[in-house]
Order: sequence, then C-alpha cells, then structure tokens
Amino acid sequence: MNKDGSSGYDNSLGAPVSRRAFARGAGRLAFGLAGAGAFGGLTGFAGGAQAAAFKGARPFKIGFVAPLTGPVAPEGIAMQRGFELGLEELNAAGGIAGQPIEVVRQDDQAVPAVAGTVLKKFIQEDGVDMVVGTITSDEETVASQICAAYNVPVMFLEAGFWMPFCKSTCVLLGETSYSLLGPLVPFMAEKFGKKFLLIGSDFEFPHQYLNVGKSFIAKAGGSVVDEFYAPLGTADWSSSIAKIKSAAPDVILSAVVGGDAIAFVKQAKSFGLLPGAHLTGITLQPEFYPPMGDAVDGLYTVSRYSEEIKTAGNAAFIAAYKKKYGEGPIPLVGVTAYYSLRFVKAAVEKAGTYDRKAVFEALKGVAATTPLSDQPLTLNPSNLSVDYPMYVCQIQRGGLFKIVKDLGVVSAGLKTC
Amino acid sequence: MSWQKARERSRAHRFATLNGRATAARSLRPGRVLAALLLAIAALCPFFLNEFKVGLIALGLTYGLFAVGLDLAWGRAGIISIGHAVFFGLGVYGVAIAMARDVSPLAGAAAGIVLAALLGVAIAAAGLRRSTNPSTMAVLTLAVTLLAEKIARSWWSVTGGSTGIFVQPIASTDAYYWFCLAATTVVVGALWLAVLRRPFGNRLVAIRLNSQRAEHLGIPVYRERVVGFALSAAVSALAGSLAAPLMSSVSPDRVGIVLSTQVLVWVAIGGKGTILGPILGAMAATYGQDALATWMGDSYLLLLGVLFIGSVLLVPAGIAGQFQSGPQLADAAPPAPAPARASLPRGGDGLVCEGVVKRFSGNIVLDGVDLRVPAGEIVCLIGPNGAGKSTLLNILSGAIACDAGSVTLRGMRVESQPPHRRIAAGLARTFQIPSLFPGLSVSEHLVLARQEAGVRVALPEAYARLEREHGERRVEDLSLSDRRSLEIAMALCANPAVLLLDEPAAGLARNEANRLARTLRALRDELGCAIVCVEHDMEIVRDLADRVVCLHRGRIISEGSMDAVSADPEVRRAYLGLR
Repeated sequence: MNKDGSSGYDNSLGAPVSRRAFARGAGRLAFGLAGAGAFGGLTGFAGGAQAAAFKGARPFKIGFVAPLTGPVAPEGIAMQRGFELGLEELNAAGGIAGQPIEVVRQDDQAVPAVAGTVLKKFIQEDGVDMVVGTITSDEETVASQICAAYNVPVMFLEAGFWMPFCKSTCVLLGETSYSLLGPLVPFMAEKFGKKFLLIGSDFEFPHQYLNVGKSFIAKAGGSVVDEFYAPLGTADWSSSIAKIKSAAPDVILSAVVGGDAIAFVKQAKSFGLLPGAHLTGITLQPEFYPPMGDAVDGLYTVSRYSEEIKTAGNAAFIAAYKKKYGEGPIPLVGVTAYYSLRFVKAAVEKAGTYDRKAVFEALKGVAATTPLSDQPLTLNPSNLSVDYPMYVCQIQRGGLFKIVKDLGVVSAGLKTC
Repeated sequence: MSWQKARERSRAHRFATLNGRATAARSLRPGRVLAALLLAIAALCPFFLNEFKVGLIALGLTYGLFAVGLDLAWGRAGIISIGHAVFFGLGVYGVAIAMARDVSPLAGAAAGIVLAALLGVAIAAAGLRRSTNPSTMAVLTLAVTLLAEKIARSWWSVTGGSTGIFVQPIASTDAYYWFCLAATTVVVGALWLAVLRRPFGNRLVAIRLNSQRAEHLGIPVYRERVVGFALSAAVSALAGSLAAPLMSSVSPDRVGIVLSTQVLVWVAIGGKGTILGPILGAMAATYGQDALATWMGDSYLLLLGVLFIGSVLLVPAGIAGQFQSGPQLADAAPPAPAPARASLPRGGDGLVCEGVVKRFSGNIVLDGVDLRVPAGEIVCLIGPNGAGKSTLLNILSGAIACDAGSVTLRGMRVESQPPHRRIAAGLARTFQIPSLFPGLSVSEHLVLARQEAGVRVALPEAYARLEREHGERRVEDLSLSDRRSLEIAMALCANPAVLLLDEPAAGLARNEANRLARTLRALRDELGCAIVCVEHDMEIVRDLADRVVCLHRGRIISEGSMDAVSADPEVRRAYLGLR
C-alpha cells in the first residue's frame, strides 16, 4: 500500500462534512476545466442540503431505517407502521414549517454493517436532514457513530441504555432499562418472590438490561439463581426451558427479543413452563401477542403505554391505527414512532432552519404532546431522553395491557453530561 | 452446433501456439478487451457518481477481490470452502482493531493477512490429507467460520462484541476508491501473471481435474493444494483489509456463515475458474442488493433467492463461464531441451522389491513378492484375475502403501515415499483405464507432462504424430488406443528410467496391439528404460517380454521365458483354477 492508501485510512474527523463536499466539488470543477467538459454538467452534489434556507425552500428530509427482515423484524415492522401513520397525519396537517416531510426508507436486516451502509447512503446520497429509526442496540451504536461523524441528528425509538450522548448527535425517545426495571423488579419481588432467573438474547442491549436488572434485584433483596444468553436467531429453546424448570425461580426476567421471543414463549408453553411461571421483561411486547397467544395471558410487566390510557390523543390514535392496520394490540414502538415526528417538527420550527447542528441543539428541551399524557412531554436537555409516566400492566386475553398500578413519572436514569 | 464448432475452432486457434516457439502476435482476446474497457469505465466512476455510490463500488471491488481469493481455492484448485469469510474477516478486523487502537492500519492489514495465511495452512494441512475426502474441508471450514463468528461476538475487549468496531469514515471516498481499484487491479494482475499463468496455476488445475494423474506426473499434490489454499486465504484477507475502511461498522457477521455463503454465490453466478466472473458477480451483488433494497423494499431478498436458483439451474458455469472457451492451461515457458539420452546414467537395478506384503481388510493380496528388474529389461506380469498384479503395480508406483517389504528405485528406498517422489526418482506409469484430465486437449496434457518433467524430450515418432495430428482435440474425443498412447507419451516426457504399464493393450485391436508391442520394444532399445507391464494378452506378452513373471494368490509362482512359464504345470493349474 502506498501513500494514497494511508491517506485513505485518515482517522481525523476534524473537517466537517460540508467542507469535504466543497472539496469534492472543487476537485470536479478542476477536472471539468481540464478539458473533460462532458462531465461538467454532472458535477452537482445533492449533499450540500443543510445550507438551504428555512421556510419554503424544500421538504424536510428524513432517513428512516428499520430492520424489516431478520430476527427483529416484528419490532421493525411495528415501528414502521406507527411512523407511517404519524407521517401521514403530520403532512396532512401542513408538515414542518409549511413544508411536507419527505422520507427515504430502507431495511437494515438488524445487521450493524448493513445499518452502516444504509446510513451512509442516507447521508451521502440522499442528503437527509435527520435520521429516525433502528431497533437493536447494535444498530443504534453504529447509527450514533456515523451520524456523529457527519453531524446528522438521529432519533432512536426503542428502549435504550446509556450511550455516549455527550459526544454524539442522538436523542432517545424510548424508555430506558432504568425506567423499566426500577419499578418492575420490586413489584415482582414483592408479589411472587425474590428468586430471579435472567435470560436474554446475546447482544449488547440484553446484557446491559439484565445487568441493570441485577442491580435492582440486589436492591430489592433478591437473588439471581441463573443467567444465560442465546444468540439472535435461536430457534430451539428446549434446553434453556429445561434449565429454567430445574432452577424453579420465582420470577423469570427475560430480555429475549424479536422473533426469538415468540419462539421462546411458544416453546415455554408447549414444554409446560407457561402458563404458571412468572415471566416478565421486554420479551412481553404487544406486537408479539398475536403469535404468542394465550401463553402470556395474566403476566405482569411495566410499560409506558396501554390502550387504557385515557387521553383525547390516545383515543384518536387508537381509532386511526386500527382503521389503518386492523384490530389487535398496538405495539409500543409503533406508538413511539407515531409521535416521534412531533418532536422533530417542534425542534425544526424552534431552530428556524434545517441546519443539522441547529436542529440537534433545538431538540434539547423540546416538548410535544403525545397519546401518553395530556401534558406535553419534554426531551430532557441534560441527557436527551424522556422521563415517562409508567404503569404496571397485566396482559389480558386478546393482548390488552391492562393498567393495574400507576407508577407516575419515572426517571430515565441516564447519566447526564 | 455451428456455434460449438466455432468455439472449438477458436480454441484450437488459440492453443495452436501453445507448444510452438515463442508466439508471434498474440490475438486480442475478448476477455482482455472487456477487462480493459471495464477498468477504464471504473476509473471514471467518481466523476459521474455520488460519494455513496463510489463508496459502494469500492466495497464491491474489495468483495470482488475476496471472490477471486475464494475462486483460487474453489475454481482453480477444486477445494471446497464454506467458511472463507474467516479469512476476509481477519483482514477486516486486523485493520479495524489497529485503527481503533491508533496503530497503523497497514500493520493491522499485515497481521490479518499473515494470520489468514497461517490459518489457511493449518486448515488445509488437516483437511486435505490423503485419508480425507472433499467433504472434510467443507465441514472443517464451516466449523471454523461458526467458531470465528462466536469468538467475534464474545471477545468484547478486542472485537467489540455484537456491536463490532466502528471505523471512522474515510476522508476522501474518491481517493480511496481509486486506491482500491489500483490495488485490486495490481493484485489480480499479479495473481494472473505470477500464479495462474505459471506452472503452479497449471498444477492446481491438473490436481482439480484428476489428482491421481497429477500425482503420477510428479506433482506434490498435498503440498500444492495447501499452498494454493493458503494463498487463497491471504488474498481474501487482503481484500478484507481493503474493505474495512469502507464498512463503517466491522461486526461479527463479516467473519460468519452468511458472508461465507454469499461469496460462494457470487463466484457461482459470476463463473468459477474465471477472473472477471467472481469480480463482476461480487460487484453486481453488492451494487444490485442496494439498488433492489431501495427499489422494492424488503422483498428483494426473495428476488435474490429466485435469481440465484435460476442462475444455478440455467447457467451452471456462471455468467463468465458461458464465454470461456480458451485453453485452461497456461503456455508455461518450455523447459530446456534434455541432455542427450546417452549421457543419462543407466544400468544397474532399475527397480527392486523384496518381501512385499499387502492385506486388504485381513485378506492377503500380496504375500512376500520379490522382483528385480534391471535397467533395459521388459518384464511382463501375468496371472489370473485377482492374482495381485495391479496391486503390485500400485505399490511400486506409490498409489498405495505396502504393509511390509521394501521397494528400491535406482538404488533409493522409496516404499514410504509418495508417488511424486518416485516420479522424480525416474518412475512413470500408466493405468488400466487411461487416467487423463477431462476437458483438456492432447497438447495441454503434454504441456503439463513437460512442465513436470522439467526437461524437453523429443517424443518417439508414434507419439509425436499423436500430438501433431490431434493436439487440439479433447481427450474425451480420442479413441481408446489414442488415449493409451497419450498416457504413454506423457510418461515418456519425463524420460523415465522405469516405466510401469497396466494392461496397455486392453481394448486394442490386434494390429494396434502388435504395433504397441513394437513401439515399446523400440522405446526400450532407444531409452534403455526398464518396463514392467501387466498384460493379459499372451501374444503381446510373447512379443514384448524379456522375462515373464506369473503371480498367483499374491505369490510369484513362476518366472522365466514365455515358453518356460507357459509350460510350467503350476501356471497351468493357476489359470485353469486348479489347486
């Protein structure tokens, strides 16, 4: 490898994207002047979009990335449904600052490397103003790093954990492991007993989630009888279920996600673990209810959404969602995706420009009304996440998350900058 | 049909120069023109594509180089690997880990490539041993790729676990693209000129087509395959190290089973055993996957599957394979002319075996055979079916090992040596069913034989004529007697001191068989080589043999002149099946 190659490996992030784009353009111009006039007309570059004027200039462009195939496709599809509904409503109501929102969409298969490629495409080719989406923490990590490198704001909608927020350009609209487990662990320990068994999918988020769970279990005076992980895409859970049965825990705290969660619960039922065992955790999601069926009836979990939440916004949302997608439980991530664009709209209008940096700054402390409460919710400027009102819910036949205890507003618990 | 003929003609035309003196003007090959055209277009890409597309094509190029690396093992040497992403991944992780730790990426790339080559040697050394079969390599490479993915997922401190390692975007995509293009061109060009179009490349093809014949031409099959696989691994790792800066996230799937199978698909669709095929296959898949994903959402996976199945069924040789009609072997530089025959050391014992014993699952097949064949003698081995004649020949040539006894070739103990060592010591052999390279022409067979002989020997007229008249014909199109002649001609290229022939007259017409006997005697007179010949046709034996040895139930029961042996009552009893 020669000098050219080592410059290709340049590690510095010093130059902002706009300067690079300019340099590219200049290089091309030089080439054009050098005589290749035929290429002259082709040298325009779409990426300089962030410098555009605010009102009336052009639609606001969002890159929406979701795992629509692969192991976490159920969540990805649920997220896309909510997002499309919110997009339709917002565009029908006039979009952002009088301009419609334009969306480019792509599947990333929940593979981090693919997510990286998709995001580069959004940024380099489509010149998006902002990125929304992703499910797994692996995708989120890649997305936060690429978006930071190009200074593009990115909004995550799934449950999250601590990330280097201070350096990055991401905001977290999902709940956190702290806000989920803080109330859940003591509730389960008090109701069913203090012997916990932990099981999760083998990637970063489940590990983090269950580690947070362990700290709350210790605080509640409980104990962990066993803990194990299976890679995403695991189809056979019989040995795990046998281990759980022999450990006989009071509570199973599960961070098995995606299609694996469905396989796990169905097999738990056929091996006689469910119903009977007290399974809880992020495995219990409304979007999994139809395939899981009555195996999860009567189980408890903590959530920030229930169709029972009595707000005008929620009633309208439920009606619109069921009209568009039919009956059935409404997925939490779908709800988040639905109202996510309201935060974007508020931030862009507050910034008064599409400039990516200004929009990111404006996201800090921005507020929007959601179906979750009558009061607007605020993106906490210190840690770029939301403190949500949370509930203990019991799953009813048919998939309704019935509210059994109102926990009030629970802190996201993330480190602050 | 006429198309077929035209192809045959062009093939003949191209190969006509193969054995001649230095060629005059090389004809413009369509493949080369296409390659040059594609290269020119590729070099201009950054001027009319946006940054993302340029990066995507650069990634496609590195995947193309990876596919070329796999093709070296699969398409050329015929070694199946279901886990080639391991080698690619070593390059990717080498660079990513180095960059994450502020070490020079070049050091990371070098480490990845060296590790890949060593791992390639280890896997091939274990999976290509004589006692293994092709599925051994498949299972072994599959196991390694699954293990590597597990390690990449679990070794958080080094690999970043399932999230992987983030690689900062490169400063100038255009510059890096050109660098990738240049690197790929240089590496592929070097592989073509320094490996594939050299004797080593010919050896890989020979081993793939017929490893038994390759071994009996003197090719060290095991060593060459291990080297070929290690080279394939190193090229794959180099491709990985080029790809790393384009990936933004280096995650465990880059060493895993999915990428391993994807690269197999690219090579299969593009065309195994070609240069452009794997590159274009990989680039089309990389670029097309992105375009399809944008265009048709998540149903693109379905379309990819249909495309793959369709291409495997309809175009089994791959896209580039459809257009490949040229010779499969390189016109390796012709070896120096042999020194005059008379100056070769001759005389003494050509071949001696003592107390050779062979059992097959408890049944004794050879039971203490002693045989001494001096230089210049023709010994014919006769005996009823099952006497152990072919087994003895196989033990002499090294195709199988004996359980006890010794084999001495021109004073050298060789009973524990592999066939290629015995060939080097002056042995050559033919098989009962001619063992040739399917799909290769007569000339190509002789190119291989001469290349391995290391000297250029003028063939006796009977064989020179075969080359002259049928040089461009594929062996499948030859008559049985011509195929036997070709096998003998190949043996003669090495100027052997001992020639083993297994039923050279079987299936020949009477006049052909008589001519063969005359030719063999003339050969012996001219070359002074010892000939051991298994033969059933007693008329030929009478014509040919200086001495006849009769084997029965694994023992020599009689030897001497044809008349003496045929008069031996024990021989008669053996042939009549009496005890």
